[in-house]
Amino acid sequence: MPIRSFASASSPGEAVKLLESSPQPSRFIAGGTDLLSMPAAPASVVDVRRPLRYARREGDEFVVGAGATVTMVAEWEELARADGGFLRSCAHDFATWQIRNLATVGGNLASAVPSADFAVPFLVLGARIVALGKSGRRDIPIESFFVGPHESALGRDLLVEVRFRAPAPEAGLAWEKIGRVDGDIAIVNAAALVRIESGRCADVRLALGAVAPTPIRVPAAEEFLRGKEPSEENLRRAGDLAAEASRPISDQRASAEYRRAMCAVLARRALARAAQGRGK
Amino acid sequence: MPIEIRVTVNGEAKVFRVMPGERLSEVLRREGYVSVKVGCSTGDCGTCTVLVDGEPIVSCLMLAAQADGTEITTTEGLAPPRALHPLQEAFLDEGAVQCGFCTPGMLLAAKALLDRNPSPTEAEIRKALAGTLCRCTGYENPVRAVRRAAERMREGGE
Amino acid sequence: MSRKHHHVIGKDIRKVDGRQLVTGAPAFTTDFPEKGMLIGKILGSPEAHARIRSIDTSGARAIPGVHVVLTHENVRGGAPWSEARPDLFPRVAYTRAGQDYVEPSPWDFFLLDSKVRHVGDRVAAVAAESEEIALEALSKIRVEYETLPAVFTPEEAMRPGAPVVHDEPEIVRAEDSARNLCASVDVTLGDPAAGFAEADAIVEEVYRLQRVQHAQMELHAAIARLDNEGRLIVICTTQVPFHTRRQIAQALGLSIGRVRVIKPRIGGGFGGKQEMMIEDLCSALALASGRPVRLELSRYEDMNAARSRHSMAIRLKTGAKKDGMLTAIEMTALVDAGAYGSHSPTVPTNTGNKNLPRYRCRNVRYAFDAYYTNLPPTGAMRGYGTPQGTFALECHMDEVAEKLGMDPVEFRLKATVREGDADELSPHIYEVKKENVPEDERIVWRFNSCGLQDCIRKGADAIGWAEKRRAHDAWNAKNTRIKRGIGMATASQGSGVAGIDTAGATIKLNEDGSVALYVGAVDVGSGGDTVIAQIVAETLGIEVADVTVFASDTDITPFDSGAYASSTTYVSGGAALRAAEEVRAEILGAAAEMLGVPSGELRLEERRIAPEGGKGVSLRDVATFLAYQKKVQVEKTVTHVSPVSPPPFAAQFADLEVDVETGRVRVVDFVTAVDAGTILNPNLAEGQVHGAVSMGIGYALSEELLFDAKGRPRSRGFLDYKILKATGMPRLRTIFVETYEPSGPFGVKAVAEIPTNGPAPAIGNALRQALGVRLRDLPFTPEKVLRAIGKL
Repeated sequence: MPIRSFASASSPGEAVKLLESSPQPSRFIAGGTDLLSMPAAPASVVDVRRPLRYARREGDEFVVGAGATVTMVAEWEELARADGGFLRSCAHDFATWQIRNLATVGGNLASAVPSADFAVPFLVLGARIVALGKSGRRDIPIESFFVGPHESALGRDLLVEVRFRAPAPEAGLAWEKIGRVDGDIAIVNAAALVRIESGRCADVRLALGAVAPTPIRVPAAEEFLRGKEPSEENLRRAGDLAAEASRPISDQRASAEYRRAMCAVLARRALARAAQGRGK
Repeated sequence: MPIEIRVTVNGEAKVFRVMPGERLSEVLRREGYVSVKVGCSTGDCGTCTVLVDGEPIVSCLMLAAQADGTEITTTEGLAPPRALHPLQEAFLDEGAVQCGFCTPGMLLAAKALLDRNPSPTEAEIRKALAGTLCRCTGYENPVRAVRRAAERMREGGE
Repeated sequence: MSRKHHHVIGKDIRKVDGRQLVTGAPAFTTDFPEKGMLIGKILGSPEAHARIRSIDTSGARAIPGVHVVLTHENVRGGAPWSEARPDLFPRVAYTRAGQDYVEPSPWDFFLLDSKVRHVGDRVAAVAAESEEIALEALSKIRVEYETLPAVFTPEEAMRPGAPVVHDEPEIVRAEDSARNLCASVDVTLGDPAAGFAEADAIVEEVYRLQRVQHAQMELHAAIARLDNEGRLIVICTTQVPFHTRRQIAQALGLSIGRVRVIKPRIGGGFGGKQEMMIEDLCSALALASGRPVRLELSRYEDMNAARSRHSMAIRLKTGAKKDGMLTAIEMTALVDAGAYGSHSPTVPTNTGNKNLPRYRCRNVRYAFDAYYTNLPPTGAMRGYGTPQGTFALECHMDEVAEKLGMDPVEFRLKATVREGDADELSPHIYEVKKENVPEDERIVWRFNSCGLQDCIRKGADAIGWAEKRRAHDAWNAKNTRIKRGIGMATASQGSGVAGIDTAGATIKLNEDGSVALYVGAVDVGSGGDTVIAQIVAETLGIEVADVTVFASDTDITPFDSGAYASSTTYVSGGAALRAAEEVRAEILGAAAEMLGVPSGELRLEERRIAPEGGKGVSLRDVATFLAYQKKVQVEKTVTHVSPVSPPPFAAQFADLEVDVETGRVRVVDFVTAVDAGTILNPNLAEGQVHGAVSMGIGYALSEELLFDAKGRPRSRGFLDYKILKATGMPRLRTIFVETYEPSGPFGVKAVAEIPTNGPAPAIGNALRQALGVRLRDLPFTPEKVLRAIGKL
């Protein structure tokens, strides 16, 4: 059955109301790249691009509207200066140009697929998600956002925007992804933040995607590396800890075994690059 | 219940009646813009590429209703009637057209690239064309054609 | 005949259909909707092997806007279709494989059957006012299946007591359907046993190839309608319009003369459209409803319920002397035919006969067995069985060279054939069963044009073979994360199917000297129409723009077997050349009359006919003279068949890097040196090389159709099935080693398929250097690479 009803919201509040009043089942739509490539369609969609297509700085926070396209993030100069091109590198690896011009950051997160490319950078940045529902606005820390495969803490709420502070300039950031080909859906993706103080890792954050029911942080690897030198041996051990923490599945893209092995490789590479500083 | 959308297609103001679930690709084909191809319906092949407000998108993943108020460019609008855009000339000169099914999508992606970047490197050309799959050319002659067209456009002032 | 200066031959002439393609003008099948057109959809089986116990279409037929629902209950009895019972079709067994009549393929397929043999096999078909209604109708069809045990590999299919895929009594021409054996060949030349006995070294290995798919951008589609006189008109995505016309007539019980098949521009075929894929069913829906019907496959259906390349396990055993002389080669292939026979009797013959003859060896055995399985049918795909054999043989020959301590290039230079060598093997395992070749005719073919040695040397030079071999060894000794390797392969193919591929051409002279060229030849995008026009233009001393090409309409153009076996330039061009020569003779005759000079002394060039150094007459004047004074309509038709299929030859080289932490292989540089005879249009010929190489690299590294344990497809579309993108291509270089093939127009052979053959073995051989281990199973995925080096 194809979609029977289309409505375009002019504000987040209107979007929430329209979702309830439209023929059920109803879904929010922005870029449509996930929703429209699925075999089953909802009865109605509520287009939320108009009120949510923004990406701006508010004080010391960066705010990405849920309707901001991947291209908008890729071309955001101020952000690239502040994070050393970290989010830009994630955006550039995302599918194809035609998809990047449609797909939104909000849609990518709300899909809650374990391989969602933007999940791991935001996990490492400690972002928070602003949601709006019948009971009003709420903040969801990114660590609590992903609940299970295709399941987020949003419920029926609208993902309004993602907010995060740029990390301290001394903190290095790195993004890694491996697919079967460039721009593929991730077999494994990884993001790392490492701040070095007196030659040792003072702050370490590591996130992995596509290797567990949700995108995950890896506390075991982070704790191990904290306080140590980013030597080849320590980085290798941290990578191994990341592999041990993973619970990957086998699918038509890759086997669980390969994913586990790539956890170690990508985690090590991401940590190594992040340990070298910004924009490496 | 049909929806009316107002769009500009290749510079002409149009009003289309569309169903809520119809994709922009289906509607454009139905309205006669058959340069917009349908090769997969999941946004993977790029043969349905059109420019919406100057940006290349896969029109099979946009609801026609979402295109309301936009300016759309299809390959029919690349050049005035009886004229050829430098990209079209270059594709013909360089043997970059074989079966031609992916050609409209490639031309539009290439045009969008040159609109933004008149002197792209080979890597930039390839990245811009990466969203249009081609099974005939191995992309070699199309990449050459884009480079040739860019040269001509820089020299000729297009 | 020497190579002389040509006017349009050898030039980068723009494609004659180029303008419509770059402007996106209506050109492809679905660009031509008909008034009142219904949309057809197919209900595909969810089961791999089952009988249909019952099928209830009442719910579907009750939906407003549904015009026709067809099931096997509409296909029974023997009576031909008639208007009196428009929804009844005869139950006849046929094949959909587009080949000459009588097809070598088994007749093992029915328009709609009460048994399904692969997931996605036809269960029912619907024609409705819109796609939405048609899909709703499909969802309302109630089917009760009796699940049968299934077989998914040739090994399973050949076990005694295995479930029988084709137990229907009507089946014709399968080798032994009770044992699931679709086709089989076993040919021996000389005495391999003796050859092995005298060898200094013997190598024996098994090589495995996966299923891959054409993945052409344009989906299979057809629009069928009845014209005002009740004739069936079908416009469709076909490489074989004349075979399709005949097969529609056979399947539906129509007279061939009441069917017209039109080929418009085609968005790629690569063999997948060498099949009457949906035209029979689309026509049935049109006949039953009395309305035009459009039937188009979705990408999922195109990928999983159409055709794919034969997967094979190939065993090779070779004996060689210390100096590199080969004493015996034995090649046996176990082939997956899928659920219907299609091209399975002929594709695997190429596996042997377009590879083994490339090597000098007196004692050769080639055998294959193709088994039915409950997976989607395999069929024709660019190379037609040759790529599989090339992968196996060229990896194997590298292993032989290694065992002998010889460099791979040196070994090929020694062991491969040269111009003038005899090819005794091919005629005996040719694309028809050996019984079809008269036993008393000891056919010896010769390689009358063979630039293989030059291809090997020039290609090796271009890629820097010797230095790179050394440099990569040095690199690999020092570097742990990235490894490098360079490898090569030789290849050959054919030019048309000898004695079988038939092409017709008609040329009509207009009174200004321009011509109309009618060819049955099928340009599926490669530029066939253009090079045939070049052949005609060159012969008649005119420009390509003076040649209007009318292609491939069964009502209007002469017969042509179709676009397969790399036949268009060589065979169809051959017909056009001969027709043009006959027109030329008329022109010269008329000019001789006008000038009072013997025609033998006249030259026809650049639209003028004149004696050497003398005053002449314009072509326009001669054509006007013929038309209006002699009252002669100059129209010449030629049917052409070539008794031989002269192979093109190639040497292909891959230079690559492997990240041994991730297993990702990246081809950095790829050289193709190819002898395709004369190159008529360098841009178009190069384009064929580029596309074929890109297909070959995908075959080697990333493409694979996957199925689950119940035979259900897991490759849903391009998201799962990875073909190369613009960012994934290596540096490509093409070297044309031009020979002159006497049997081809202007010396051509063929170039469309051969470059597909070399990339996979060249990459496999390069990986041997890079990794230090030999991989023998395609595709070389990152996982396989890591497993091979013990990292997984």
